[in-house]
Amino acid sequence: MNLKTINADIVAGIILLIISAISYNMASGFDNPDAALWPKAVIILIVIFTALVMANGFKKMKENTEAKEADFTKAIAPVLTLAAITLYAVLMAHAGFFIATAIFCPLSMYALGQRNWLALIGVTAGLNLFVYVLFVMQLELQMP
Amino acid sequence: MFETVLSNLMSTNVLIGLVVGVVGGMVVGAMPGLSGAMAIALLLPVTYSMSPIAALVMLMAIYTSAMTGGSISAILLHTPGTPANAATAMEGYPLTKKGRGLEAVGMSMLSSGIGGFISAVALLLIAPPLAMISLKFSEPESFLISIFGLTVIGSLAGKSMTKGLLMGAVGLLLATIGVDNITGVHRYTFGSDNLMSGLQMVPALIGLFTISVVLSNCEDYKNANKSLLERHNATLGTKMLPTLSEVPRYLVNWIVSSVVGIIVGILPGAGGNIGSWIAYDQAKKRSKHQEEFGNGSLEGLAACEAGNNAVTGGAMIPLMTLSIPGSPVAAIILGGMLIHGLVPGSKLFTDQADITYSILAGFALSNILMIFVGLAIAKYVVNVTRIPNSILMPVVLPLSLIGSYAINGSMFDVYVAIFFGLLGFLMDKYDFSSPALILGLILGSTAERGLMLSRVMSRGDMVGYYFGRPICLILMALIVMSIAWPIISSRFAKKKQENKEA
Repeated sequence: MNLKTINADIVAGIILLIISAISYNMASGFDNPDAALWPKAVIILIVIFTALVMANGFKKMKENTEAKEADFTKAIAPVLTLAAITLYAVLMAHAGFFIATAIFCPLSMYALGQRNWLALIGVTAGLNLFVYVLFVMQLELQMP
Repeated sequence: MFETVLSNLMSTNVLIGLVVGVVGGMVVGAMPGLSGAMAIALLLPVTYSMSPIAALVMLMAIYTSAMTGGSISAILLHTPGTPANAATAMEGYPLTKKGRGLEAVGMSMLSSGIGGFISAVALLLIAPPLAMISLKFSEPESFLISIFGLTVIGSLAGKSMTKGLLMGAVGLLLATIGVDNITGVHRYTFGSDNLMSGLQMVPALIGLFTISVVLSNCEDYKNANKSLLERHNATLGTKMLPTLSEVPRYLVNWIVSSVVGIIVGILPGAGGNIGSWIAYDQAKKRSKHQEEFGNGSLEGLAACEAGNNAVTGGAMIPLMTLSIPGSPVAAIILGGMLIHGLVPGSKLFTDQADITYSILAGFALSNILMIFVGLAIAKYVVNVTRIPNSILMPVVLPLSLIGSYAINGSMFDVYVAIFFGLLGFLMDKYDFSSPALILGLILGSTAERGLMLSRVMSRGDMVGYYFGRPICLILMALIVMSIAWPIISSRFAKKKQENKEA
């Protein structure tokens, strides 16, 4: 079976079944059995619905009618964006919001094709100023 | 009495409080992560020096305007300003993509104002008798109202009902993370202090609805220098309000959604989040244009907005009569009332009637003012859809992350938002419903608490306990109807079609 042609419902189903098994096992170890009642009932529901979704996925795979497949090659741009967002958050935690934003904002604008230098500088400065006025001056938020 | 109320309302302090409350509430509401509750809590100390009427009118105006302001970013950027606007994003954003953003914002302002105004009238007229319902409301009813809320998943499931139900159940499981309120057991916290109070709603919402959109927009990075309108070959549109001939189409919708919102508001612990979903579900079931729902339906949008704003007045009913806050914001307003010597109860409507009715009239007025303010700014704010993605996305993202951070001042919430962003992106790509997951997350803790406590209260006879409570019977009937109605109506439609063909 080619990985590129596996139906997305089946991939999601396998992941959910693994998470359900781990969650159920963890619930069985709760100090008070009453605390495990609701999570266990919900996990059983998840397993039932997952089985139905997977059965449908297998059916579609057999009939070859499912257009949406787990094609991982199309995911490069979102993966890069996600990596950039995560880096930005890490930078925010260590260098602070304003420095992180002063780096992230113009770089991401440039990466998305914005070449107007006035926009790159103006938007970054405007955004930082807006956040400073609202969150620091008005709401007195302790910024990261 | 009328003259006193009028002169109280026309005083400069009250008018300033009204305008500051409406405009400020709208701005705060439009910012993701900043809720009305936050603004009210922050402004509470400012009200010390104000008269009780001006102070309470301002706080209540913020409450209702923040819900409305949240719809602006939900419609134009797919970023619900408050959790109560999540349903609005589902219908509003597709309308914006079709070039009907102005019309959607206009409809949102109008529906919010109408919903809020009807709830204010209900609050003025029927507060004490309606509040008696709250007294009869206990854990079994709380559990059933959550289950009733979950039946809405049928309307949110998107292309696959099974996937919608699956995501609803996943939301319920995610809601169990944290310290169990009843037993005190740490569940799925992995030893982390950050997870002890569970997953925060706002970062999850920001992730599922905003960051997921940022990710999917970046997929189309080659067109990033084009605005939303250019990418969808749409214009801004010039129509803002429904024409007089269109009003009857929405009239029943507004009234029913407002009544739904008021009832949900009265019930403790429910709040605007649930009010908007149930109103949306009711509108979809009654609509002759069900195919439009999920693809940009003005009817759906009108229902969400009338529903969530009607919750505001509804939540004030048990608060002002029985000291029971129907929502977290109402609890903060209760603090504001007590600061100004207004103790909820019968005296509020007798000894302090002048003050109380002036506040309530001010609340009604704030909903009308909100429509005008909203419509006045609508023409300008919709221009955000003309901004290219190469500028919009790098601005929306920092605002979303700082909004997530602002809830608890915790970087952990920022990482939660990013995680849900990825989850939402993948879910959207493979037709798993994000709104269904959010609904499970919203209702999970209320449902569990209601079920587990009623299990103790029933002393082993849960069936007898539930069937012996009149409100439970009504709620159970509503749940059965809510599940059965789509099946029955589709059978009827099929039969009608068969008869036509024959």
